[in-house]
Amino acid sequence: MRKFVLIGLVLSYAGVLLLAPMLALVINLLEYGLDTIWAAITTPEALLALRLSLILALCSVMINTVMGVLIAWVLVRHQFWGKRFFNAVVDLPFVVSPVIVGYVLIVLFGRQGWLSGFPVQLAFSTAGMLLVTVFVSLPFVIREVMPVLAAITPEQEEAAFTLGASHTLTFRRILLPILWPSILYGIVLTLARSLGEFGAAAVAGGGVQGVTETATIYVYRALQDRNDVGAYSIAVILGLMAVGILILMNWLRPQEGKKHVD
Amino acid sequence: MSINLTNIHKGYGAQVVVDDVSLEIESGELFVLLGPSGSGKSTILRLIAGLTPLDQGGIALHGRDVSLLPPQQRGVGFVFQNYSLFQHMTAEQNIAFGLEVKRVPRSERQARVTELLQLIEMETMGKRYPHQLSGGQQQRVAVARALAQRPEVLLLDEPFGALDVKIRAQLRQNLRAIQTQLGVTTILVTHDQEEAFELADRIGVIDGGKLLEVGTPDQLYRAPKHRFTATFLGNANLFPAHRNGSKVYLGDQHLPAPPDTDHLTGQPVEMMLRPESIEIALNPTDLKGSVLGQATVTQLAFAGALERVTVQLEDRVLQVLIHPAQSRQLGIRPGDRIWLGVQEYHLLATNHHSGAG
Amino acid sequence: MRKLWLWVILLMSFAPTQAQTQPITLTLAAYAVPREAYAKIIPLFQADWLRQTGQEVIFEESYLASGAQSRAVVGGFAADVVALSHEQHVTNIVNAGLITADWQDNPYNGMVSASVAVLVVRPGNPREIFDWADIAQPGIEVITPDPATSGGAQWNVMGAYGAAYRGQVEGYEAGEAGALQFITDVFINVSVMDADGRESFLTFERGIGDVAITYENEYFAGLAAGGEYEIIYPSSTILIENPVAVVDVYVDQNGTREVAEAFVAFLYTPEAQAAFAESGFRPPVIQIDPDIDVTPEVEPTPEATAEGETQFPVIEDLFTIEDFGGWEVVVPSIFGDDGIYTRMIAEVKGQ
Repeated sequence: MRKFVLIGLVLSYAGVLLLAPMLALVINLLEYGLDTIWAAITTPEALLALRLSLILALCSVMINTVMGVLIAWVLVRHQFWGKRFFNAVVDLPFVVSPVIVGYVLIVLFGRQGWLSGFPVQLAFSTAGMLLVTVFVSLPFVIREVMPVLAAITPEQEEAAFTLGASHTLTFRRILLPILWPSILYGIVLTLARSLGEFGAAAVAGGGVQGVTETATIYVYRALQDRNDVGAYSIAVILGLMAVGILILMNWLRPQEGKKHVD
Repeated sequence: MSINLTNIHKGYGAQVVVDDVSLEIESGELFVLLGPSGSGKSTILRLIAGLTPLDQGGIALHGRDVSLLPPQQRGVGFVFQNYSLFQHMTAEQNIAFGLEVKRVPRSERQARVTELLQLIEMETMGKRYPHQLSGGQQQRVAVARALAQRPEVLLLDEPFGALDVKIRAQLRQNLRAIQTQLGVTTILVTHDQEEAFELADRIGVIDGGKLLEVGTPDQLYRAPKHRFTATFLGNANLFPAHRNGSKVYLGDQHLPAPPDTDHLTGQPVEMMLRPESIEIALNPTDLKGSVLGQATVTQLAFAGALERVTVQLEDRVLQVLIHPAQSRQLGIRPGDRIWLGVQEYHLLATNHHSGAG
Repeated sequence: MRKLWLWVILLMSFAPTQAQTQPITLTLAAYAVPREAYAKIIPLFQADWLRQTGQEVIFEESYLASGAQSRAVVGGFAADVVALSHEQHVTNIVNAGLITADWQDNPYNGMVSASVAVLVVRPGNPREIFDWADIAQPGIEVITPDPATSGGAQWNVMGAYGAAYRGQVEGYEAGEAGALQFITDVFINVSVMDADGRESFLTFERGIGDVAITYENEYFAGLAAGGEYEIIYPSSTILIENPVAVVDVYVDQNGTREVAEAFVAFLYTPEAQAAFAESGFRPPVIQIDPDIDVTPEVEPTPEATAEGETQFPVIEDLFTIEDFGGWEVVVPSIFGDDGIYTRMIAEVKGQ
């Protein structure tokens, strides 16, 4: 009996905390009617903002997946001077406020910045927004992959070596399938974090409509403009994307994960 | 010569793990490296496979110096203690992996996998994942995987270590059968002397990174050169003795010196008496071998097929193994005075090796 | 892995792609409030420019808090035109060497729109607030943005401070001491200080507070969006003026000087001023300055203000920031690290 009370308690807590806001948002939105919503979503500004968010998130996922696995590899498998420091620094994006991150980019690469001579225009550009998005979502893949990588005993790789497999082939055929669930999870988090990024992208990009305005900046601005339909519509789309990502991952995961159940 | 190790050496900092080991193994031989854990036996295996870099010395496989080659180019099949099967691949895929790496054509690969599955008697289980197989089955797949590329040398690191006793015995026979059938030169590492006796053509006893001695199971059991070998390969009663003329003196007793022990004359030696080679009688005249003296029974213990009798001969305690039938016939009980005789005994030099046992 | 790529391609493909035929691009960096006005003015200007020159103008618009916008432009955001809430924010850009010409060299002193600091209360004015003095009463909950982050908030503070300083707030002596006492009493009543003016007014709109200190245009914008509240014009308040300027260094860099200057000039035309008026802005005030040419390039436009006459009541005692020496004096003496406001708010918050 006590078990059911606990289950009920946990479910209602999680339900209220996780689902209620999403539901409220959707109900709030539907009051405007589908035509109004469709019109709000299909304004060029909203579409461009969504597109920019997606492009930034996907690029950030690709960069952070490749680099994240690489960094995790170096941190787990190699010994070097300053490793502990480097390992701690990886978490920096978790503790630094995104607005500060954006501001630092401007300070470094802005007109009077130390690195203003940098050949690529970073301040107030999509490139700069990508840089800060990559920065804020950097730790996820690393932190997901590291413990799994550390738990892999060397024998699996050694077995592959004795069977003639090169280091790259061994990584691709033996390690990657083992790491894949953690990489996927890291990708989900990276994607979610990148899509949700607001402060750093807003400061780094300057928030120019249709150019450096992401979906979250659009939502913020729409709220300021009293364009509630626009804000809610894009917010719901972002929410649906998040749900979609979760479903996609759940669908991908068992196929890989099943083989790892012991 | 199939495997030739010349003065190989491996250390980590000040700690020497493999100390100047030289060894020659014949083609088709099943050689067992026997030693306690931490003795360096697994490291020798890893040095041969190239998984651990060599500090000094040379390794040749079939006359080819492989000392500096990476593991991929050594042509060695390796079976790990925990099998290390690729968890995300089926048994078939595991076995085929090495062939895929070598770009063996698909049809040929398939044929070889089928052949190997037959060899390990697992024809119907090729599509299973490791977690769907028992420990013994996983072990057999690991052996098949190691054999897939027809390696010149098969190395097995404690292949039965994680299995229970029953399966172990059966798998040993399977392995021996496969090895004989394929004639692949094999080194097997174990800490289990029974396993070594059952499988080995020859055994190398290793302790503290040193290869103490090499010989057939029989040689090493009956006539070890080292105290460590004597004790590690079964129970041994060892007593300080000295050889003089044609006699060996053990305290007050003296026995005829065993043949071929002239070189031990004058130096401190130890006499080794295997418990099963000691006989017990109520009267000295009933003893078939040389008389050791009169002793007191201190303890009787059931030990399966045999009965272990602990006796005290003056200030020495001896373990003796006799048939329960004989024990019943004699009707001995703790405190009884009995006569000890010995049919077979062996002398070995003292202080030859004082490594950790 | 293959699935992920498929997914990437799928997502990329539905994203809209615009054929970008852009003869000239003009970047506008503005503060958030006049966005509705610019949304009307920009198409008018685009049509006008196309008619006159046959060239299409693409606008890139950024609307952020005025101070942030100013910092961004100084930091390298290459905006051609800045439209800010606060003269001081333009001065920052001038000091950074980006505006080299005298941007105030026009009849309006560089100001494109105006407003006044007002009080907004709940329908029916339940707390009976009729002038500045009433918001200093104990128990009144006041909403105003934070002058530390919002340029607009400084207008509010100066509206309250100035009225008291001029002896127009009942119960407070004229002069510095009385003024300081008045804003102290007001800020004791302040419950929420948002980062910018719009956010602050939205907070009030969502039901927090009894009275918001805000700008007249903010009230009209809220009213147009269906907000329900009443405006209270203090008998004495400050004239808020919003500057607009061409950023010389960037327009020369971008090759947009001509169109940028034309756009700024267009903001003073009757159509543009009508759009500002619709959004609740008063027209800019012509500066009586002997140095300025008597025949200004841009004529004042009575038509534009005609409608506004009724919309925007006359304030009994309207003063400007110039009455306190201009922002270059007020910013350090009132809002500086050792300024009157800064010390006062530290004390109020410390309590």
